Amino acid sequence: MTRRDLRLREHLLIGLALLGLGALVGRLVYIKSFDGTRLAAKADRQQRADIPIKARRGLILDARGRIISATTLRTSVFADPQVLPDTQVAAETVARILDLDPAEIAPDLLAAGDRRFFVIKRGITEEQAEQIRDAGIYGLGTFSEPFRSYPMEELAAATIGFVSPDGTGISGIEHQCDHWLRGENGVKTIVRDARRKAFWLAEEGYRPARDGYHVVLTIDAEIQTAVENELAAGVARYNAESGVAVVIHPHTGAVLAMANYPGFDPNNYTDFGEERYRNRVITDPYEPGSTFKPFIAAAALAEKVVNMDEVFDCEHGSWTEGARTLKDHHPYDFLTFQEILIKSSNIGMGKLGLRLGNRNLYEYVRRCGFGEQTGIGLEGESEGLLRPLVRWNAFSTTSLPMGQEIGVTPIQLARSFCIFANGGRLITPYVIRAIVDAEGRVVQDMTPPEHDSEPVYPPDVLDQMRQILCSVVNDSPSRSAQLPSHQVFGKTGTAQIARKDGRGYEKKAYVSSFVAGVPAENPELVAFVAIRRPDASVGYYGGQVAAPVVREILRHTLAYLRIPGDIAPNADRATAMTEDYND
Amino acid sequence: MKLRLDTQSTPSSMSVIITTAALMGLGVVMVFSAGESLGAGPFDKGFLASPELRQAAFTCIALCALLIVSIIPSRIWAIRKGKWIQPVVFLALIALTLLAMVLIPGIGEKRNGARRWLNVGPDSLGLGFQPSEIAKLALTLFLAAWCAWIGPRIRKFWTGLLPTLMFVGLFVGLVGVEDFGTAALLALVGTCVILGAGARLWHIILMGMPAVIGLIYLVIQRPNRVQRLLTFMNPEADPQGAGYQPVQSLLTIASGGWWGRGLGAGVQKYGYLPEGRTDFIFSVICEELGIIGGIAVIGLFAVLLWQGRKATSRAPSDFGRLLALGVTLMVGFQAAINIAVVTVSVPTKGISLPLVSAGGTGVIFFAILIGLLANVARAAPTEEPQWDSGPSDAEWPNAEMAAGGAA
Repeated sequence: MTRRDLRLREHLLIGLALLGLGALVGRLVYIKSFDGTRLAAKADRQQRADIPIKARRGLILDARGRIISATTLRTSVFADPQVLPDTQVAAETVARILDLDPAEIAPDLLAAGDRRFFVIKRGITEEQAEQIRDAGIYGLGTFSEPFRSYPMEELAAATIGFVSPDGTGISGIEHQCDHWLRGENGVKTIVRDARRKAFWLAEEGYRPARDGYHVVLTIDAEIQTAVENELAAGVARYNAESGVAVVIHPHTGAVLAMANYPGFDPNNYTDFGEERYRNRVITDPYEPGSTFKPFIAAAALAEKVVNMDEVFDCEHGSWTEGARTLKDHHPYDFLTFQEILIKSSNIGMGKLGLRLGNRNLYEYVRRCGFGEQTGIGLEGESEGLLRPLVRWNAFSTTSLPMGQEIGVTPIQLARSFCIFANGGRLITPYVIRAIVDAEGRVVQDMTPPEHDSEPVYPPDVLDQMRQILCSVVNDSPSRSAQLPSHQVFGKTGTAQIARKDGRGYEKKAYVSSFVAGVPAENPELVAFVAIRRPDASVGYYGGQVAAPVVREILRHTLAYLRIPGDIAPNADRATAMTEDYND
Repeated sequence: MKLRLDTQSTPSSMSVIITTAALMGLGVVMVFSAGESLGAGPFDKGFLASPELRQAAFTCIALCALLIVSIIPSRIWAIRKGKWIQPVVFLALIALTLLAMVLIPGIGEKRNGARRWLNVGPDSLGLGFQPSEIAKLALTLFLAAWCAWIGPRIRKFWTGLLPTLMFVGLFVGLVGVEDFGTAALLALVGTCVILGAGARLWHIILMGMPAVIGLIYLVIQRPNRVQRLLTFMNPEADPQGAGYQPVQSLLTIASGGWWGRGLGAGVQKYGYLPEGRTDFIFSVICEELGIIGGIAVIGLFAVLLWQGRKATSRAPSDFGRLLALGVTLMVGFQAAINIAVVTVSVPTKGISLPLVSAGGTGVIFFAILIGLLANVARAAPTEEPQWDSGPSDAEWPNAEMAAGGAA
C-alpha cells in the first residue's frame, strides 16, 4: 500500500459521494421531466378547489320597468356533519337560535351521513345568522345565496311562472327564458391547506359570473293589477268557478294584461294545486259561443251574401234545418242583419252560414287566425280545435256561425277581435318585449316582426261591423259595458259547456264572456273576459256576468293610459232597439 | 503544550466556510418559510417555543462554533504518544455514555415515537439534544485519531482492523437501536474512513457479511422499517398510509416546476407535507425555488465535497487527512441520503439535510465538524502534492507523523 494508493482511495470515496449527488441531480430532472406534469396536476387537485360564483338571475320587469320577479340574497344555516364535534349540542344551539325543535334537527344531521354540506334551514334573519356564527361551533356555518322572490306575489303568476329551489325556472316565462335569465356562473379557484381551509386565490383563479339578462314584458303591472282585481270581483259576484282576462293593444299585439283567476303565489307555489300554474289564457280552448259570431257576420258582408238591412225570418225561435233544430233564447220573427248580431240570434247566424257555405266559413275562420297558434311566444300555447274541412258534417254549417263545434283560446279570440280594431290586420300578440342586460342595453328584441298581411275584411265591412258592435253595447237594456266617455264596441257570449262524454251540453253550465274594443273611433285597447261556471241562479249571460268586468277593466286602463274619450258628455247613444238584450 | 491558533486562511478554507454559511443561511430562511402555516406565526409563540427563531439562534451559535473550531488546531484531537490524557478518548467516552443514557426510559425522551432525545436544563426551556449528533463528531474524530495512530497495523486483521471495527460497531449499535438511518450513515462513513486509512479491501468485504446480516436483522426487528421498504417500491399504492410522506414529497418537488413557486409561496407546507421543516426541507426548497434551486443546493454540497477532497489530499498529517475525509464523507453521504429519501430514490429514513434542516443539535455539531475540516484546509499547503511527487513509493507513513503537531 503506497501513499498513491491511499490517495486513490480518498479520491474514489469522495468521488463516490459526488457521484451520488450527481445521480440525485439526474433524479430531480427525471422527476420534473417525466412525471412532473402528472404530479403537479395531482398536487393541484389536492391543493385547489373550484368554488362556483353563482350568477345572479335576471329580473323579469313589466313594461315600465317594475320588478315582477326579483333576485335577492337569502341567508341559510348549514352544517358539515362530518366534523361536528357534537351533533346534539349543535342541534340544540341551532334550535335555540332559530326557535325550532332540536329533536327534528338532530336526526337529520345524523342521517346526513358522510355529506359535507347539509342545509339545516334556508331563509334565516341576519341576527340569527350572527348568533349562529357567534356560537362558534366548528362545522356549523351560514351562507348567502341568491333567491328568487316575487314582490308582487300573485301578479301574472301563471304567465311568469316560478323557479325550483335550486334556482332553475320550471314554469312559465321563468322556464321559457331560463337560458336568458340564468346567466353564466363564474368560478373562483382557491388554494387550501390540508384541513380544506382556503387561504389564497389561485393565480388567474377568478372568472367572474355573468349575471343573467333581464326579461322585459309588455305586461303593465298597473293594468294587470286592475284586471286581476276586477276579474276576481266578477268571479266572486257570480260565485263562479274561474275566470280569465286579457288586454291587448290591437295595433301592435302587445299584451298589456293577462290574468287567470284563481291564481297562486309563486313565492309559495307548492301551497297551490298544479292546475293553478296553467296559463289558461293560452292553454285552454273553449267553445266561444256568441263572441264568435262577428267573424262570420263580417265574412258574410265581405262575401256580399247579405246586405246590412236585409231582413231574416228567425222562425219564432225554433227552426229545423235538415236533421237539426236551432233554437234562440228568445223567439224572434223577423230581424235585420244587424239585429241578428245585436240580439245574437242563432237561427239568423245559421242562415248566414248556409249562405256562405262550408268552404267560405272555413276560409274566413282560418284567416281570422283560429285553428293555429297565435305565435304569442309563450310555452304551452294551444292551437284550439278546428276540424279540417273534410271532417265537417251536416251540422257544421249552422253550428260554426254560432260559435259551436270550434274550440278557441282566450288569446285567439282577443287577437282575432283586434282585426275589427286595427283596420283588418291579423296581429301576432306578444308578452316578452325584449331581453336586456344589466346596463339596460337590448340584447335581443323580442317584438314580433311586422308583416303587411292582406286585411282579413275590406275597410267598409270593418266600419259596418264596428258600428254594429257599438250598437251591441249601446242598445243593451242594462248597458253593462258602456262607458260615459269612451265608445265601447263588443260582443257577448254565453256558451254552454260541452259534456265530457261529447253528447251535448251540461245543464246550467256556462262560460260567460265578453270581448270588446275601445274607443270605437280609433281603437287603442281590446279586452276579453271569460267567466266559467257562474252560478246560474244569480246570472249567467255574458252581458250580465262578463261585460261589467270588461267595462271596469277598460275604465281603469283608459284612465291609466290617458286615452282621450270620443264621446261628448250626455250624448244619447241608444238606437231604436231597446227591447231586450240577450245572447 | 502551547497552543498556537491557526489564523491563516487558504482559498480552500474560505470556500468551505462560505459554502457552509450559505447552506446554513438558506436553512434558516427555508425553516422560516416551511414553518409558515395558517396557525400561529413564529412571533406569536414564545421565543424558545418557535422552531424558526430557535433555528435562527442556533445557526448563529453554529456559525461562531464553525469559526472558532476552524482556528483551533485540529491536531489537539490526535492521539499523542506516551500521554495518558487523550481528549479524543474522553470525547468518545462521553458520546458513548450519552448514547447509552438516551436509551434508558425516563432519561431519554421520546419524540415522534423514537427515543433519541436528552433534555438539558429546566423543562420550561424545552431544550434537548440528540446524542446521535455527538456520535457523528466523536466517531469521526476518534476514528481519524485511532487510524492515524495504529498506522499500517490497520492492514492486520486481528490487531488492527478488528478492534477498529468493533469500536465503530459499538457506536453503530448504540445509535441503531433508535435511529436506523444515522446508524447506517455512521457505518458507511466509518467503513469508508477505515478504507481510506488503508485497510485491506477483502477484509472489509469479509466483515461486510455480518454487517449485512446485522442490517437485515435491524430491518426485520422493527415492523415499520419493513413497511417503509415495501412502500418504497410503490408509494402511490398507499397514498394515505405508509406512502403518504413519499407521495407528498414527490408532489411537493414536482409542483415547483423548474423555477419554483417563489420563496414563501409553497403550498405543500400547509399541512400536506409532514416534516417540511426538518427531514423534508429539500422538497420545500424544490417547491419554492424550483428544480433549479434544488440543483443549486446539491451544487453547494458538491463544492463542500470538492473542497473536502482538496483538504484531504493536502493534509499535512495522516490524522488531518483522515479527519478531513471523515468530515467530508459525513456531510456528503448524509446530504445524499437525505436527498435520495425525499426524492423517493431510497426508502424513507428519518435523516436530516445537514446544515439546512431545522434542529439545533444537528446544525451545531455539523458546524463543529466542518470547522475541523476548515482547520485542516487552513493547515494544508496551498499546492496539492502531485501524484508523481512526494514519497510516493515510500512505505506507510508512521504514527509519529500523525502526531507531528506535538513535536
